[in-house]
Amino acid sequence: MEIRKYKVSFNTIIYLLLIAFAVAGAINKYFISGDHAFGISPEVPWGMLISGYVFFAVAATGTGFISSLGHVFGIKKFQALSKQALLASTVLLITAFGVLAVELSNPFKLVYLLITPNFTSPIFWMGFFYGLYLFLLFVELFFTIKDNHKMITRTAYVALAVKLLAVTNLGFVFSYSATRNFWHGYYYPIYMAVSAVVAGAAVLLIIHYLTKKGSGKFLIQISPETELAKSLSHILAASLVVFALMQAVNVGLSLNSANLAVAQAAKALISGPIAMSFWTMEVVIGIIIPLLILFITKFSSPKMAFGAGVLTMIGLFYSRLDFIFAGLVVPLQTTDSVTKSIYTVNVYSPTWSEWALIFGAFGFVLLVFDFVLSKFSLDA
Amino acid sequence: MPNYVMFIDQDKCTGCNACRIACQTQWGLPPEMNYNFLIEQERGKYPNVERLIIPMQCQHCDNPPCLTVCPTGATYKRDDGIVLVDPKKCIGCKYCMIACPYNVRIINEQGVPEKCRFCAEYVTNGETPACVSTCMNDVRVFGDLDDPNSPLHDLLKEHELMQMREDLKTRPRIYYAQSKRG
Repeated sequence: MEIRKYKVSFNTIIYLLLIAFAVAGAINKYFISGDHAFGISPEVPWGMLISGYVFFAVAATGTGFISSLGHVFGIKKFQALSKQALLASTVLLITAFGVLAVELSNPFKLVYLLITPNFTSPIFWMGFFYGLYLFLLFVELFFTIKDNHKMITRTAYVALAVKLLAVTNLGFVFSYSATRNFWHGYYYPIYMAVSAVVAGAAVLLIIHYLTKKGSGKFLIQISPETELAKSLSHILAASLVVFALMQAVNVGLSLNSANLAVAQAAKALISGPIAMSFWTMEVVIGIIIPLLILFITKFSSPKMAFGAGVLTMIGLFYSRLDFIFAGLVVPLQTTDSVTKSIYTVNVYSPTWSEWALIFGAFGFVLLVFDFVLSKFSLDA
Repeated sequence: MPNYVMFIDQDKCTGCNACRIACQTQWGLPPEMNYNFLIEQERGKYPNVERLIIPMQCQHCDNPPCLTVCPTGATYKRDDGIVLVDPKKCIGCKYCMIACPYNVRIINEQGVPEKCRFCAEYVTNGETPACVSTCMNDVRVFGDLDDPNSPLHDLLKEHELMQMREDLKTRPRIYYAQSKRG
């Protein structure tokens, strides 16, 4: 493997500043404000960092899904990006765990997941499957460095099953609780799996555009391989259409639900406190504009497909934020003998520390990519 | 082994909040943090409107959703029915707060979602919980369900009872007297 020298650029400084911003947010949480550093409350115990964890973990899984089209399903053109995809999955998953660690009040006690595990807890299984997935990613990286294709393929088969279990189980973490009516049911495990494909296609379109074949320099030029970009664009468009339809059906059914809490949550999403984020960021920027870009350019412009990928990822980030807040926005009906307090809503607003940690997480992902792709040639 | 339960007659509650303050004092809680509280709601239509005051706290469920979802087993149930949190094992994921239908957990300074402990250490020594002993109207009565001499026996027989969100099958250990108002 060819090793080059890494040059510090203006982009490097930006990434480092973003990471420094995140460190400031983490210091505020651990040494100054404690859990008050975040906008969470007893009514809304999960906020932007849980959304961030879901965003990065599902993006890691989706990137793995699309990359398995090469290793597991033998479609040759997808093998061209297999090393970049492997790197992306690994970095995104490490970032997801990092964001989650800061969200946890006591991350150093995670050892009790091993000492006294509770097998009935979906979070235990989420940790188990994503932990195993990360281990398999390292195994794949090891065999990639050793150039052992046989073992890479074998590991990829096992990893495909593990990532499918991991991502559906992540949805199960939300859908398990009968207390949170909007999340409860079959929808969110499927939502996670489908949106993973959307995220995977978007991430690989971004990487494909930003990677210069041969030099591997990140963030400088268009790859000439438009054929792969076209296939990825098709996958992105198709999965976005399925995703949009699923979301529409879910919101439509929820609005008409006999369960007032579910209907009220859906109402909060389309015309309440989450509406701006839902319509502007999730629907228009995250779904409609990327689809328009892809269809207008007939899937043949890697540059425009890159733009569609970026907008899709922004939309997906807000999608995670929207569904998590929608699940918590309706106050719990703790008693059943009195007038329901269903027509009020809980409030949640992310703090600067939460934004800092999310921006820092993006900075970390970009820095690692820039560094690795500048140092090593990752062409297939 | 005792079988601890609590009886609450909400119609007797004046809303004085002594129970909340006694609990805060017992456990050294800061003013903004409380393990029990009063829900005030109105019922009926004008001109026949009444205000209900419902004392609320951890229900010490026999089928606690917070225990089921806790990944490290930090939330556990004693043989006497009391549900407790072991702060040593708590990672602070707040999944218990998501799962609890009663919204009674609150994050303490150690990042642990704490809640009413039924004054576990005190009742083991034969004392009553602070919220019970401080109440001027005997709104709450705490005792051993298996003790035939406990005043709970008569109270549970005399009243029409209800439990919070029975539809969720959490099987709470707090029995409320059905309100005769409204």
